[in-house]
Amino acid sequence: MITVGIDIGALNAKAVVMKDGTIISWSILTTGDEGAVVAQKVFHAALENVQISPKDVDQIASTGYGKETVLFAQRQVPDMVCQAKGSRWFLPSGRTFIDIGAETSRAIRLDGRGKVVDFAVNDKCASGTGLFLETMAKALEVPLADMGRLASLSKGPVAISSMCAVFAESEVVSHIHQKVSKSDILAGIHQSVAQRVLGLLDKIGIEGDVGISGGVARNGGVVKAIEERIGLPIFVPEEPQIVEAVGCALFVAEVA
Amino acid sequence: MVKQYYAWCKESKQAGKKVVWTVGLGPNELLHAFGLVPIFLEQYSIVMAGRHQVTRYLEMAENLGFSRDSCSYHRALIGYALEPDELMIPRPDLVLTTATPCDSSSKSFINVVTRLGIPYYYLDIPFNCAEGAGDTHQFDYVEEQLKELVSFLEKETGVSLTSERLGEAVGLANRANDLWAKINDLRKAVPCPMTAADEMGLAYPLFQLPGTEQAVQFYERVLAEVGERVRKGEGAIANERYRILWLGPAAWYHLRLLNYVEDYGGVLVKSDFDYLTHGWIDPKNPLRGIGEKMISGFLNGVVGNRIQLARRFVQEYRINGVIAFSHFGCRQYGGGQRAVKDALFEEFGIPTLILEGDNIDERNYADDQVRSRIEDFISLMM
Repeated sequence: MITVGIDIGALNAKAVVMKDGTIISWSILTTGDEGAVVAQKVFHAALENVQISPKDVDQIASTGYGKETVLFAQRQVPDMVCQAKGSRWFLPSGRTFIDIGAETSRAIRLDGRGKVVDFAVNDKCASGTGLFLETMAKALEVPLADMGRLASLSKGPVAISSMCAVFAESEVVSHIHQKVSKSDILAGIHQSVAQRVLGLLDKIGIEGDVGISGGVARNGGVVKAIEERIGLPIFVPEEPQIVEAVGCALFVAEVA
Repeated sequence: MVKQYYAWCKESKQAGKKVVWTVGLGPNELLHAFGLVPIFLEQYSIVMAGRHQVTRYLEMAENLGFSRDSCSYHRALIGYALEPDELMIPRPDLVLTTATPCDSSSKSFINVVTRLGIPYYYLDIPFNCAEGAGDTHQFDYVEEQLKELVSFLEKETGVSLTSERLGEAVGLANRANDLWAKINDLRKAVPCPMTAADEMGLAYPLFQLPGTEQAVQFYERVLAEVGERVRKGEGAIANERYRILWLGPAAWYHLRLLNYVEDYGGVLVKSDFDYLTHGWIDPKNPLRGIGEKMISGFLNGVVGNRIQLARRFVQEYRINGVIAFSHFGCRQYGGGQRAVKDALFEEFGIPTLILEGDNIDERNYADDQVRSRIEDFISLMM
């Protein structure tokens, strides 16, 4: 059976093609203004990679912030269900999973059968999410992809104490003016994100192996900062952004 | 009914009756027994929030220096006191405030009293420190205050309260209360005949009109209607899948939120909102009975009472999940919700969503986030 999971996030749209429980293709595009348009594009891009025609697809499901814009999907699947399913597919022994997307960070705890038993989500403020890190990267004039590497050179992280993403940016600018090294500021930013994630994990309680997904998981500095705070290793999938789309494709295969 | 009541309040004021600004959990049956015109200010804020007109009053209080992090109900009433003649309700002649459900109401009402230069009475309701109904010393303490309150009201109104009149008001309050208990019994039916969204509106007379004929007549009609629905097997939604308990008041400016679970086959079958004031009064000893009702309220005491009430609802209403709305700035509701959540999960294995928001201040409301939280929560029950 061929299923496609499409995850329309606040910043990126992801599509994953699965055949009998195995990933055979995926595609990631910037969401932009039109969810409906990008949904078509990302779907076709993923199929073209493996030269599969849309008529050969058995089931299409959508998830994420813009799941309602995927008009050709047969089913919409709640984001958290996809996170749980996708995360377990990548790390079957995992019980605690973190997802940090552009605007949302969510921690979930699963029982032994993979059912979500508790969750916690960031509220009101984007501090600690992908957009927060992008803003900081711009303020520091550092490419997003270099943030983790540069932070690893830090000799002493500075404190970023503000609760608000906008005020935190002012704090960063003030550190720049005080000639604090970019590495130390970045390490401080990563610690502040880790602190936020720790708050979510504290609410649900950590159990078993821990995994992470979402675009921010590609930033090794953030992952390391969270690992240091919880004292446990964190599993990062090779492509952490597609985890929810994988979960979506798996879910629709099961219920079809 | 609310509209009619406010119109009656204005007419009564013009006819020379005294208007009392008070709180929802005050002894409103006693005020009705005196022929006074009680206005439950939180209810007025609920109406104003529903009409999207409360922000102006919140801003007025904020401009005086009251923090946006403080309870919006209290900020609103401080705002009302600045423009008392612009409101849908009449200017007060007296204020009656209490320490339940929160002691901050006494502090914010002081602003009203000093600004308007009117007499007030503060009823100090002691915190119920043990699980159960409270103790004799607390009942003695409140009964003494209620006697003093009667003297205060007699002096202010020139009316002597007879035991017949008080007995009549308490009798009516108990009848309304008994009818409501029967309605709640009917609501245990599957499918759910009356939702928590209905309850939020229909519980109004319990708060505002205890001790009146209107409340009794109203609940007779509601009982008949709910009974009819149960007999016909009519549910609030088609294909009910998840029966959900709602804890706390709603976001009054966005009541549609109470229907969001219905997109997934969920229905809010019950809330604890009515139990803020739902209680029987001993007719043989009415003043002491009123005090007992106020002390024993589930929000005026240790968290164990809240856990017991939620447990009961979960069992009696066959609940699959709980949404606890945590009003910003509220220490009473917000403080114990985690304990309720943990207790319900441990005993029944059911999930609780603690949804943070404001009951009347819509400036912090983000609908997409709330929808997304509710969807996550429903996923836990799938």
